[in-house]
Amino acid sequence: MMASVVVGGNRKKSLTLTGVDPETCMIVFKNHWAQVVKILEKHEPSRSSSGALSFLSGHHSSSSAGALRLGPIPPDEASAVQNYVEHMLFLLMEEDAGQGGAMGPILEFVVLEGVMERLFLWSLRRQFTEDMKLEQLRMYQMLLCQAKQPLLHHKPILRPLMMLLASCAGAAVDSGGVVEAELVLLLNQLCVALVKDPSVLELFFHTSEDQGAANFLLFSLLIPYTHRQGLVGQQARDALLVIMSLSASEPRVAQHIAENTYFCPVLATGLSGLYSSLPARLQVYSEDWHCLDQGDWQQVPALVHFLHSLDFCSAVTKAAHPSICSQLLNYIYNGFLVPVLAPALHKLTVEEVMTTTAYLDLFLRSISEPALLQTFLSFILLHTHDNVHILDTLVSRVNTPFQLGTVSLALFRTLIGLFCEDVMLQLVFRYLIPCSHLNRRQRSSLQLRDCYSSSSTLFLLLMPSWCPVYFHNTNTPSDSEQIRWPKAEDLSVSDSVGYCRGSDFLMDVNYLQYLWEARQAISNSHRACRLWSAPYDGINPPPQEYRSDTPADDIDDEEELIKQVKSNSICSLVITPPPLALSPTPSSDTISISNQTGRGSSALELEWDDIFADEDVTLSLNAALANGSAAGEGDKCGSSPAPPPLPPRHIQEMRRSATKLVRGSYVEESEFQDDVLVYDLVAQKDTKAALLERIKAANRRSRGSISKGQPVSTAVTKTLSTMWTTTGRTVMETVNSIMLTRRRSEDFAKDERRRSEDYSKILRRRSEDCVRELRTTKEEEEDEIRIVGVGESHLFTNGFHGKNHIINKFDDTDGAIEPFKQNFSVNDVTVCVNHMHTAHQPRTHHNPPHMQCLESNSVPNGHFKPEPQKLCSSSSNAKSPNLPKKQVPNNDNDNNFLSQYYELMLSLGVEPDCDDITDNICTFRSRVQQLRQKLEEEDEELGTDFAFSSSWDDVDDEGETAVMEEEHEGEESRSSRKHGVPFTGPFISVLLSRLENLLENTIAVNLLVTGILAQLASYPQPLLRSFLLSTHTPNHTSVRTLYQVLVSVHAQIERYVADRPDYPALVTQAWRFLLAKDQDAKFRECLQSHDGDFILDASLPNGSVKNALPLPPLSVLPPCPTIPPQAKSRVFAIVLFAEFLKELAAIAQEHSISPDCWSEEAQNI
Amino acid sequence: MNLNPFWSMSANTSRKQRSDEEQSGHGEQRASPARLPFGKKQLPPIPKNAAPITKPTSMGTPAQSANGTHASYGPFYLEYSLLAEFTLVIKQKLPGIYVQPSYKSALMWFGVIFIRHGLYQDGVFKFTVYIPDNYPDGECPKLVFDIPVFHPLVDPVSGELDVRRAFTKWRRNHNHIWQVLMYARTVFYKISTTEPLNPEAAVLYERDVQLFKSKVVDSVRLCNSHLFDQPKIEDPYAISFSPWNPAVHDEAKEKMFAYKRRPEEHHKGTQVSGLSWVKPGSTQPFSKEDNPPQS
Repeated sequence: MMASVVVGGNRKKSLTLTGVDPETCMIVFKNHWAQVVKILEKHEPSRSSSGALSFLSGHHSSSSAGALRLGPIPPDEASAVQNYVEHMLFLLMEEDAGQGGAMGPILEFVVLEGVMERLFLWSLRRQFTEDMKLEQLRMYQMLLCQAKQPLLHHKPILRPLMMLLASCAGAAVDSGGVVEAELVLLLNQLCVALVKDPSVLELFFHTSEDQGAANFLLFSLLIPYTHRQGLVGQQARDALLVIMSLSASEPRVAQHIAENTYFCPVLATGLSGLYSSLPARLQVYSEDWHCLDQGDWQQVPALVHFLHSLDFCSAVTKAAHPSICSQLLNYIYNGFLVPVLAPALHKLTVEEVMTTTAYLDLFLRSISEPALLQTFLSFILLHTHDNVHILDTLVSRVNTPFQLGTVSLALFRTLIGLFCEDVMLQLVFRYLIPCSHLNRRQRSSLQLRDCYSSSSTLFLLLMPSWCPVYFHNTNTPSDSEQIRWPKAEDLSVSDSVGYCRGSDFLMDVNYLQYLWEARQAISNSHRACRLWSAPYDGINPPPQEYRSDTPADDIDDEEELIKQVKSNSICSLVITPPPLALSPTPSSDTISISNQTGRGSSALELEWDDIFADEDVTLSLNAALANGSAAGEGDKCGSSPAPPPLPPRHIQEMRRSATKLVRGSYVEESEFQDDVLVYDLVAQKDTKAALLERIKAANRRSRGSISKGQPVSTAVTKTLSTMWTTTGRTVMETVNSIMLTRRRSEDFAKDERRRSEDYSKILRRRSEDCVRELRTTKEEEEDEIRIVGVGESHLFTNGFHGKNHIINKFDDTDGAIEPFKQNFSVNDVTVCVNHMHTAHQPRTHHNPPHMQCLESNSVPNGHFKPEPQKLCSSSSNAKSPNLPKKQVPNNDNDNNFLSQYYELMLSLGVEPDCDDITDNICTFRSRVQQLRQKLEEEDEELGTDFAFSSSWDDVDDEGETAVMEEEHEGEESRSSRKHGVPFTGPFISVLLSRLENLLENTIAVNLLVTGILAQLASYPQPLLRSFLLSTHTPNHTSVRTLYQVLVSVHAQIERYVADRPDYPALVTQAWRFLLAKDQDAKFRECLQSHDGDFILDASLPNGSVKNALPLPPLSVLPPCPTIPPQAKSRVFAIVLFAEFLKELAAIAQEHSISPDCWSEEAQNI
Repeated sequence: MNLNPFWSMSANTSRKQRSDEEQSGHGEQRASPARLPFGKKQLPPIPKNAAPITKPTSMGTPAQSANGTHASYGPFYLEYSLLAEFTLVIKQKLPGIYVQPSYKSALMWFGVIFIRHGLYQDGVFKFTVYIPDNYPDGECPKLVFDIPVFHPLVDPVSGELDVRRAFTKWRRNHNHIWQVLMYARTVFYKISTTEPLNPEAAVLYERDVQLFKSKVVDSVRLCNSHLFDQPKIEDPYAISFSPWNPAVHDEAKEKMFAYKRRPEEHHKGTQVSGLSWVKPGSTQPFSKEDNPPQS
């Protein structure tokens, strides 16, 4: 009533008081006020004229009485008051400040008389209706907005304002939300004023005591509107952002917000709430849809809302004080990402999961603030859900044939496009860093440029043979190996060759565009990666440090493994690579240990975790299996080992060394054992499932949460021990003989060879025994045999990734154990023997691995020689004479091992060394190093092949090349080829496997896969670039390079086309059409955008491009051939293949001329 | 990214070659640069043996496609080989040597060498490098001085430096053009007289060093006196010297020093990119201790 008119009126008022005498204004003001007071008092006779407080007290005392006397104000008086107040406010607003910033007289009067308070309280008493609130709000808005003096500096103005706000605090949604709107507007203005004039902040804090924390009020009033839509929400968020920016400079505010308000939780839970209101399933309108672009999400209001909130979080993160930031990000991580998004990514139905993946992709693309992006990325990379890394789950989904796979690919395209070192590390680089897929020569040539486009030529050679390239030169001979070009004199030919003319220019001129785009992409990635911590060029980060415990050790494919076994010499495999992490640099150890996060550690290492850390062995095993299966077979299970809680370092060292030793020997066995055992496994699957369930349950029980020291698993122990005992004889005999022989033998190399042969015999025999045994022990009852931690821990994945069908059957951890149960029978003794071997050869002293392996050894030992050991028991079980019954606490300490070791040694007829038994890592390491050196020497003798790459084929006898060779020789040759099967990571494997399926994939998948590969290829890091663009045969057949996949696709295409003679014509026609359309589209686009890239033709009269270049009308385009719908994707795939080759060749060429990011001159720029 | 003004020019030459031809048929593409009014370029003859010598036949490369593919892409390979060579030259930062590939052909490079010490001190010698068209499988490039310098290894008539003695057989991947340039610099510091192209100089060097020195000084003076001549070979990119002209050269100098600021291209899209939270020295994601992530 009062102020609205004023406000409304004032906005249009053009009256100024510039010429008016201030004295006059004062007098007028006072007069008006007197009138108002008269009217007010007429209706509040009991009111005293002192301060507000007395007024209040008076109010209370006389409220009942006064209320009776309060009647409605007669309208004419109300309008009189309204007028007076209007004038008064205007006068107040227009008054200038006095000299030196002192209060103007009117303001002084207002302050002294408590005018604003009185007005407020008056309306408060008069049934503070919505309208009255509105009036008051508007009054203050106007004052704030337009007053020339800093009104907020004065408590008598501030206090009623605060009281007004407080009274509006409980404002429920009124009719139309007008009050809310005005309130928020006022709050917005207040915040802005606060920021402009931080001295007011003092008042806020200062008045906090008597006002009951006014500052809180301002902020806490805004909080409920944070997630509101519409103008109100927008203004509230703006106000909050203003406060955030204030907090960045005012630590008090920051502290208050962070500690005393619920701002951050509200934000985070708001996100969660908004997310849960998103549609669980999106209506996908086309099969090729794979990501939510702007047109899509604008149609879903809930999504728009969510994105706005996300933007707000970004903005807050950007503007606010670091303490608020970190708190907010924490809440977002723990309150939204982990509890809401993680389960959403693991929902049961494929559509829901696909939708969530699409959402996640959209969120990542929408976040503009690095800190918030870091939160999301660390969620993806580091968080584990059900012991599986989110990243691994996502990688595994890439291989699904449904739309989920496509959407997952799109997500990875986004992730890779971020140029984030952490993401690339986890996805790609940590598998490439050990350089296990490269031989020495290749590694040294990582840094060198491919000056002569050799890989480009090879890529281009893979173009389909019927591809219509320009055959103008009739002189080309029929043999394809050498192209003889005419000399320069024959200008007519040289003129035309290579230059695109005729109808086929389209096919080749776009190569220029590829070159251009490649250059852009490469320079973009150079620029983006200049902030990375390391150049990833094979030298930094150094391969040695990461070789032993990165997933390069993972054996993913059984076939790969077998090939590996066959291609390398037995001895180099039997003696596993030296555990390079044991080099005496603690930092590298720590790094390598911590590198075991998640899927870093092979399943082997995780076996050890059972002893020293409560781990879910089954899951880790399954993970390792799944890795292999995901990489090779395209299965869905993508679980991976959880990061083990780090046991003491020396334990890890032992573990690692044991792993190496074990795996080496185990690897060799796979090719013998697999088929037999695997088929047996299939037969016994059901029983195993039951057993596994028990194991799993037992493992869970034995994990840290419920530590009762119970037996971990009875079933496994049972079978394990069964196998041991039945085959114990043979094993022990051989072990015995071996040990004895070894002790006597001086020649290490001979030992190795013999041992390998022995191993094969042992293990073959044992595995057969085991198989038989397993069949018979199916129905054994449970007993309290504790599992020997070592035995269980030797459940290796290596040889028993099993055939596809085995793995495909396993959809969860239960199934995964199956092959492993076979495994450990094969492995354990080997391990032990290995350990024995290493223990004895240098004969220095013991170390814990030996103790551990003792356990397994002791079991077979116990078979034919009952010993009073804890571990072993001879045939005391009536039902099954082979079941040892000892109880062994899972987490036994070293003393037991030692005693058992002694006993075992004695039983073997070998004197146990009585040296100091300590967990002395250094000595252990040194021993291992000695072993390693011996191994290397032996390997040199055996002359494993070097497989030099073909490009550097000249004998180097001068220049830097020779030097390079020598120095590399020294450091590299010894340690380069000794570790396990190289593995380039599941992500690359899965990408390449999808690429290999090019002809069958949908168009969207093909586009995404080639797009991702092209983007990866444009990364500047030599490791990645050389892996993707190198055309050399890799040293290890287990590693599949992009070039090999392309060759295979080429062969597929040739085969396909060979059967269909008319196909090339069809494809060519489609190709031309697509290219022409593409050219045309690009042309029009650049014309319309008038980009700077477009170079105007200076030679033309007006220099305008538009006039110079005739726009080929669309009708001139070659006709689109009619292709039957089912063949569309295949035709497109072939066209895409050829274009992809061009793209890769262009990228390779551009890489050869790009300046290096990490060289000096680049850093000077 | 442009390290060097020469770079961008040489990069453009490759496009210009093609655009000249395409223009007649089909108009400009977005990627093609402007056509400069210098007339039609002389195209380099397509090199022999454009394919690399070693081809892994085990890869099953089909026979038929080789023809056509090479026919189309041969020039690209040559061009990029030369560009890569040029990049290597830049990387080497040879002291006192400056080269610029010509406009007409990437196989001909102009250059100038400043000798800063020794007998030939203060010498400024312009030269041209001729790269064989079957690079890198041909012979070693030729280096010809504009004005024959008085030196045992420089032919007094043609001005050609005897490079072949240093590179008896040019081996791709081991020999690079920057080595030729380096060699050209070395001969002025370490004078060799075996099998000289300029017997008089060789003899003088061995018998009468004083006279040799004086002849060298004369030669240097001669070369320097011709420094401001028009370049011997007509080409837009030929190196030419002129006296210091503040109007032209001051601005260029300013630009060179201000060059450090890399011209950031317009970033399309708001997406953050180029992130790293990895601690240097480790390969752990999100291992950086300090909080503010870079972007």
